[in-house]
Amino acid sequence: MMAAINSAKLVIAFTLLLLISCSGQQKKDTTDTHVIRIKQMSFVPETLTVSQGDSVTWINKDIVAHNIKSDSPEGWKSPKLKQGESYTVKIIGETNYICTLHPVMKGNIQVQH
Amino acid sequence: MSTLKKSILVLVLLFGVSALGNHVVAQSQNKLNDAEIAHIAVTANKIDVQTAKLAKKKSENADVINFANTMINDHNAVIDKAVKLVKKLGVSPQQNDVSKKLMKQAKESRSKLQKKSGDSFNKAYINHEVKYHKAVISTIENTLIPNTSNAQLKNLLEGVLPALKTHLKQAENIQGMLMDDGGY
Repeated sequence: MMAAINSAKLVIAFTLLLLISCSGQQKKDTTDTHVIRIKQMSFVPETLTVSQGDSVTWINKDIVAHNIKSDSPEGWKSPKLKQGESYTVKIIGETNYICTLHPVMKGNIQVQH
Repeated sequence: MSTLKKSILVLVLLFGVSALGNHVVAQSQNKLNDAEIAHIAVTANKIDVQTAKLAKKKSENADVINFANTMINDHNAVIDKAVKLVKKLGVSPQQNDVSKKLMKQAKESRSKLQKKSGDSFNKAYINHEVKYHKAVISTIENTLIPNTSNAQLKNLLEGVLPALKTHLKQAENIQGMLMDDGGY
């Protein structure tokens, strides 16, 4: 009888451990911050893949000022960033973006689900 | 436009593009020093700021005005950087034949632009910017950088090139849009 109860306890404990471990794999409970450097008139990297809810920080390393404007429905736009200044946005969905001061500078953020 | 007019336009453009480069090459046979190179760099940037200020006054085209604003901000940022660097190095930029010639040519170009208005001004300004940036890029790459002794001044000149190349691309894009808009 005692052996049967011990076996049942072991099965329950194992099942609980399995459930906890599976739930950890299904959903990331922390967000990351990714960095895009603006240097030599380019966004580096030009394409970046992040998880939904992650943050992205742009740092301007160029002599000249830049900004970042998204074409996403949220429509965020940074202020003008001088050399050394940065701007951070929480990413909700995929977006293309440009520097409106130099519209030939383009970048893209992909979101993995 | 007649073939003759087109030929004249091509000759004028070619002369304009090569004028800066030729003059610097001629002067560089006497070997430019770093103080003279610094003066040429600052002068070339100031000229484009002044031309852009004229464009802001005369143009009503949003793309042209946006481009002019970028020229003012970017070239002023380069001037600030250059002035800080020469102060740090204890160098006084020296006026020279090249910078004098540049200022004279710029005055003539602005005077021609001043007489134009509307679409004709927009096209003339953007054509000037394409030509000017091509000439400046070529001069920096082929003459100023190879002649510069100081590593920090050389770094600054090299660091400015990507911005100048981006300006050229932007000017060429606007040139294409203005062409599509009504042709030359």
